[in-house]
Amino acid sequence: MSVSLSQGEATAIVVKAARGFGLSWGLAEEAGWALCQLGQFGDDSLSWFDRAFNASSTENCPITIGATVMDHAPLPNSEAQLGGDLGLIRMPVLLIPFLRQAADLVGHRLFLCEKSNGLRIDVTSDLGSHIEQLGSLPIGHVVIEAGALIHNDPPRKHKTCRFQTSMETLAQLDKLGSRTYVPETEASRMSGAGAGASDND
Amino acid sequence: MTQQIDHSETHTVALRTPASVMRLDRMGAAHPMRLSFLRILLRRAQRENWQFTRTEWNVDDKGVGHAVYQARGPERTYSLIAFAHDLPDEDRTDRVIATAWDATFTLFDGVPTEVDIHRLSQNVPHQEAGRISEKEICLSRANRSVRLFNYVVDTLSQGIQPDAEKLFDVGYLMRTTAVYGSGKFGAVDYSAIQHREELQAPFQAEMLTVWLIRWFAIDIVNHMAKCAGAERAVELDPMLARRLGVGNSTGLGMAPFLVRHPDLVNAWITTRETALARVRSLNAYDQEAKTGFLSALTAAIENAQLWNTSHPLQVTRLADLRNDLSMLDTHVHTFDWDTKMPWDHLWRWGEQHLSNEGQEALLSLLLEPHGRIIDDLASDLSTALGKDNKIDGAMSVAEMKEILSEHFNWAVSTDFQDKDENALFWYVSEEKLEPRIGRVGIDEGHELEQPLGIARLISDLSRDLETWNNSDPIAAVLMRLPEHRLAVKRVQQALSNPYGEIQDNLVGKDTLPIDMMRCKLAFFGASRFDPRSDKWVRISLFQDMPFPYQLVQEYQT
Repeated sequence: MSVSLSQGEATAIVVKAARGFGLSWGLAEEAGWALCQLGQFGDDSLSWFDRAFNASSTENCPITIGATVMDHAPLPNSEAQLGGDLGLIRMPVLLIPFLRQAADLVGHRLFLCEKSNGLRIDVTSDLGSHIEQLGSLPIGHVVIEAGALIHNDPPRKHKTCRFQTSMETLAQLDKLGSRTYVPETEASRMSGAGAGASDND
Repeated sequence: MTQQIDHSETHTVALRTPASVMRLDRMGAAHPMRLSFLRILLRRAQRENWQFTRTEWNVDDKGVGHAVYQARGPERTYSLIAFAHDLPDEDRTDRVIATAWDATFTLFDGVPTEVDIHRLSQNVPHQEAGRISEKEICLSRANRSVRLFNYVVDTLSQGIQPDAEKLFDVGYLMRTTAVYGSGKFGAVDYSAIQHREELQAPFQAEMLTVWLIRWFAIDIVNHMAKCAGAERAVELDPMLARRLGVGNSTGLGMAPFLVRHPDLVNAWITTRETALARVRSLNAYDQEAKTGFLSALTAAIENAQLWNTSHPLQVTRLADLRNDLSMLDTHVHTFDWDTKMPWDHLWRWGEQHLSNEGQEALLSLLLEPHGRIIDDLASDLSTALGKDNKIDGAMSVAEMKEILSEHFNWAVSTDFQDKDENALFWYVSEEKLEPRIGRVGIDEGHELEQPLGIARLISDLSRDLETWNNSDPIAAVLMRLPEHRLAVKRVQQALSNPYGEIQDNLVGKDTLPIDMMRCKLAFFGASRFDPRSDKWVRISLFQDMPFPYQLVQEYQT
């Protein structure tokens, strides 16, 4: 059974799940941003995040690595400028938004290459079927290659997407997100929300 | 498309500084004004000659059923679908923990079919426990006023009008307890409809929802009276109805919004301050504006007299306001209106003589008669679609320190070793998934704190930057210290969002969340701010304003 979520709902779910998984709040927000970017490509991009966060540690996390590549992009000799080996990364499909942003910053095309499966994807292009292929990889050895200068690509349009996902994926992400919640006690139920005065008049 | 605010706009008089206006005690004194969101809606609806119709009334003599209200603009129609329920008194609560309400609502995008209404009847009454779709824009619910609703039904059913004083003392027949929009519970995302001209200003769909709920509240009270009194019953006098707004009960859920959307808050405050600067910069008054100002002042004095509250803090503030308005009233009658830049003179007198309450009320009064020179600013209240605020990793540590020094002294100078500055923490409750405030060292869950203590996050960042070389790029800092990512983004955004940060410590012992709520509610256009504790408030919306069906004939822009 599947469920249809607004972009706002899906983003909130991913941000909380990322935080519950162990990322900093700032990186968790980047995960939410990445979801919005990926929504236009994948049928069920939420499931990619579910699989990325289904790990015992935050090592090889595509959000952390993607944000780092993006942050460093404008610096001389960065991976986005020259290309480079990023090593093993879980759910490498989640790198796409960060690499697209990095390509915009450096002004040339970037290719995401997955060595084990021989994939070579221009992240600045229309990703088409590549995205599902990449999305099926739970882990990949990723290398970035720098390409030609971007000249006349039309600016990408912002698009608000709906998200379809399974109840199972939703439950898994919600479970991670619930690690950010504080269980209520009778005392907190009264004091935390500021009760005390009659609200029924 | 939404316009960007032109920060380069110049006036004879400068805008008030962020350090002055972005303090909690001043934000907590905000008043509704001409550029408040519900006023923007009313002006548009009148200007564009919107048509309003109740197209369906299917409510039985127990008050159970549904109704549909349509608002037709030049390009689109929006429909409020109202579900009326028979709620036992013991189940009625405004708190978010409620699971049943006297009435539930959704704002539908277009004209609903029977299939739509059936689908919504299975979901809207359950509110958070139901699902709506991208055909719906808002989800809301309301409870009857225990003090007023049955009393009004009883009197009307006996053929007599309710006592006006009792009516105004409460101010509303029904009180909304939530108005959800922007993608909540499956509704359409705001970003998907923000391009519509009529929805570009903030919260226009939510304001339309509440405005139509106000109409429903009058209809349901008349209906219940008719059912009880049959031929003896009379309808509520339209002049009395006009004095009733929609109550709203708001808790902590609203407060974090202002922290999480610095770009939007910046747009709101910059717009308001720009409007004030435009008025203050006028070289002379014109008679129409002077008359409008004096008329608004008279209304404000009357409103302050009718404004009831029992919260000690607001009682004090209300006393200040009444005193301030009285002083202002005296002052304007001896004021030399022919002086150069009279509005600026008046403002500067207010800064010297009035409390925060009075000054912010004066701001509202100054804007009121100057629609001709400020109404165009309404389009600046929203932020641009699809704006990605990404971190500039190439920024050096030295540059970051410079911004901290120039814009964040209020945060960096706070001593977070002092327990009083670290006394509170914001968290999300597992039970209702709503924001709460806990006390450090007393309540459980501090380790799960939400990142709303911006001052402390900025202070921590500033401290840790001291161990880095000035030439190091921020990208390197974040690679090693990803916990500072959120703070780095806030600091970098400060350059383009000078009014984006509340310049107070939101986890300090004396923090009053109601100050944040009042600021936001004033931008909505709410009046009669009545705190019920330091964490939740009641207010009134659309009080003394026309009903949709009266708008075209009566409303003066």
